[in-house]
Amino acid sequence: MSRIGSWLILSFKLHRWEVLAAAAGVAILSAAMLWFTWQLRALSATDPGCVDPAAYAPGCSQLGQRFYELSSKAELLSYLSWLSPFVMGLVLGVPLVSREIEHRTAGLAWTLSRSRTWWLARRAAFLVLVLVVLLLVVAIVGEVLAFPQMPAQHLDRDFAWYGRRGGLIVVRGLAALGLGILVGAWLGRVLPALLVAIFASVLIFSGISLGMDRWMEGHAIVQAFDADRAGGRQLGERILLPSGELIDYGELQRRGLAYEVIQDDRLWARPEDIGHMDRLIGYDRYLVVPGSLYSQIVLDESAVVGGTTVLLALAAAAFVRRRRPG
Amino acid sequence: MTLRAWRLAFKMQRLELLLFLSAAILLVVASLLIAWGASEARASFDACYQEQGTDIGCAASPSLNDFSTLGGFARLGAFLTPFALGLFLGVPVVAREIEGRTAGIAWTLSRSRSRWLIQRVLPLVVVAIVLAAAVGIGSELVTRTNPYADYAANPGFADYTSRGVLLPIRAIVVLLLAIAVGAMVPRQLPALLLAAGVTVALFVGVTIGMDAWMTSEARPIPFDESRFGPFGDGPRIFDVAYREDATGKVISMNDFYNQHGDVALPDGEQDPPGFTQVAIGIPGDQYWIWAMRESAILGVLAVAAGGLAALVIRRRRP
Amino acid sequence: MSTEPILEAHDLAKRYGRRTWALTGIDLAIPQGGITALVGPNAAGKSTLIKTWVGFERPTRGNVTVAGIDPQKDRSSVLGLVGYVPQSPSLYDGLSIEDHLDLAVLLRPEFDRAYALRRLDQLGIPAGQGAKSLSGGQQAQVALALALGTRASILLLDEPLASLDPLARREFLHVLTDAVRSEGATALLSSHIVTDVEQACDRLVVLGVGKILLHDTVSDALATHWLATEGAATPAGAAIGSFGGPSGERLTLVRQPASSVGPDLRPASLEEVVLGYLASGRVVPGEAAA
Repeated sequence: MSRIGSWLILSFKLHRWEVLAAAAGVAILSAAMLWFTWQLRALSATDPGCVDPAAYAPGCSQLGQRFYELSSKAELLSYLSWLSPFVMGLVLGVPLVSREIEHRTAGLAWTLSRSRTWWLARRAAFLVLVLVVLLLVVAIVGEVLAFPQMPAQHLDRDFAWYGRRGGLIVVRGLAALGLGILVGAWLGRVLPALLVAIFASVLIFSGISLGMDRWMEGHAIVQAFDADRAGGRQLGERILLPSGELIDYGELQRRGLAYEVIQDDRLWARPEDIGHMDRLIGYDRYLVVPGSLYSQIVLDESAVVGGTTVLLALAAAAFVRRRRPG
Repeated sequence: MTLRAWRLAFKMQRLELLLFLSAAILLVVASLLIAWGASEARASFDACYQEQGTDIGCAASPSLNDFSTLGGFARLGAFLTPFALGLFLGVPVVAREIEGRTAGIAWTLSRSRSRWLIQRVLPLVVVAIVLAAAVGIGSELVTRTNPYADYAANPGFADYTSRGVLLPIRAIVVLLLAIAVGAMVPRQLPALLLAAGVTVALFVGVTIGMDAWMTSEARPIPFDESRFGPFGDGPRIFDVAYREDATGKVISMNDFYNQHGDVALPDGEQDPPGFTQVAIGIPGDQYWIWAMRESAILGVLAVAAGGLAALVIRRRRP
Repeated sequence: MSTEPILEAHDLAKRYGRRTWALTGIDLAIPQGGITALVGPNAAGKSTLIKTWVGFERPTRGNVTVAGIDPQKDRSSVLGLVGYVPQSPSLYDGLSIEDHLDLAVLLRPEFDRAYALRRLDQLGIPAGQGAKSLSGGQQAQVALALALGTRASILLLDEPLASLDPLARREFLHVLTDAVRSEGATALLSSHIVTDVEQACDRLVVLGVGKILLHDTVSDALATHWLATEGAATPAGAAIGSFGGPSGERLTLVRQPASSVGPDLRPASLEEVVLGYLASGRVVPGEAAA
């Protein structure tokens, strides 16, 4: 048997439970998503006019209701797509080092291998391969389902289902894998490491998400209250002051600009101020990243998450190099 | 249980217990802060509302929205707590003994494995109940101070699965189930994955069963247009239907459209002429009855899971 | 020493999976009192036999009893009589030795904590030390102390000496013999290191691949077994088995009363007795059919 073949088989045997569980999870999720795709497409084919939520067509009540029910359930599945990279990354990553230490096999493995980094790289490479293949399936099936679920939207330039479809799923999975390996190597016990890795991933990915939101403000445009925001990503409400300055509600409060009334999109301190433009506090506005920037933002976040993955992998390698084998 | 038993139980799962204790304390403190902040924000909103006689302007207060969002996170944490507690504390009870080859000593020192199991599980049950109950109380306060609802006196079925009495009982069911799975698959991570799958399947089943039971006892509830939505006391709504004003007969939306086709609504009206929309559900004041019913079902499941765990352990090779 | 059997196996066979037989129909009766060595190569079925007496393994065929009680029918009563030291004893990493003793008290209220502590104290093993930091020999001693603390009348020790250095082995056996002699207990010690058990044990059971090859007292085994070198005349029907000697010569183990031994034969050591019997019963592991 070739070296690659025996590497694949041995690596699989060492992680068979996790790999089989992950593959089974992806198979079930994908099958369910594809079933919904088929159902939604069939409904659309029956009467395309009835599945456009923006248009009301007579005689559509039943079909529309059925479409709504199905697409709501499909939306729930999309959250599983969102969750899958974190779950799979951690489940595959955490035991890589921690189980070796817990089972006292690390001593053997680390003396048989030329270097621990080499050992880690070989073992991690298999998991990366498995994870990329499985998450690619999830990512692609997510895209496939999104189209019939949102038939009126141009999803190549739409933030809908952000992180629940497309390549970001794979990149996030790799970061979770790196985090799992690192925490597993640090704690050297599988279940506590998994628990800590879950907490750490919540913190890290929330941090990245908040950071990305802040960074995206640079790409955002200010839109009027009633403007069409289809496909865009709302970053929140802002107040446009008469001076042209854009501030958020917290800043408004800090400046003591109390308002009591919003009339249309205008903020007034008191009802009697309405119409007196010299007393206007400001305009209610939305900060929106246009849908046309979807691909670019996905690439940017992928780069940030990818960089984090590299850092986590390096930290894991450094940790394994210095780790006592238990 | 002696102090010695507690100390040993803690030492055997020190890392998991410390993590859960820290997480639970954080969650409870966060819940209390959110509840307090939400109450303050709501009080100022109410003052504004009373002064103006309208919520225009007041409703835009960002803190209401912030506390509502934060409350959502706290409730999500509370919802997940019993599952995380049960799985992470339950799976290693047997799986780690076998994986770490300590079962041989433990199961010969103790004359009966049931006695060993009780010694090991009792402290975990108490810890799970205390932590889940604390988180459940914190979450209850978050729900009662929800800035976009009037739940202070009676939240009814609002946030049904993430607060109150159901949390500790759920934690016990998951804990005992996880012990049984850990005994059947004596490797921790595979056991955890399997136990998680079984838990999801079990609770989906219980939820579907409870929903079916509730649906069978659901009745029409008139819409009550309060400031914060159509229902004040948190009923459990399963469907909406039309009630014929003349006869009082309730007809489902599907049946209505089947019989009448698409009906054009008069200007400014939400209901077709001669019909009033009603909700089909369980009124919020019946929360305790249903919470107790579900607790009883979960209690039976806990006993079954515990029995299964004991049976598997009795026959298990160490 | 009573001759009443306290550990018995009747036609005991144990199969793992579909084809692997660990034991192939054993009849054995170990009398009360003293230390019996259960000697055999790896995969001979020593651990399986001991685990069957503890109630950890269910026989595929036949049955075992401990003081007349079948552990499959009344495991609780059997465990009340037995102290067990598992193969390569693993202790709880997160607990100290003292914690282990506390755990034993919790699990078995009659556990003699002071006695176990005294035994460990004699060996200079500090009770406050964490189990994780103990050497292999110290871990084995803690496991033995846990078994002795039960004050059980039967001790079943599953290859506790395997990973110990000679000094640790000697200390372990010293503690064991001392405890067994002073308490009048019965111990069954499985091992594949014959020289160590020779000093400590009263009886010897040689287990081949799944079957008993010899069961005798150590003194009788030594008194009735002889070695014939290549070319020497061996009495008809007395040869047990042949094996290679230290310098490559062929040696044959012969069973013969001392009164009828010829000049070509020399007394066999216990190790040579065991080697002769193992050579006689050599079977490829897993192929022994019940």
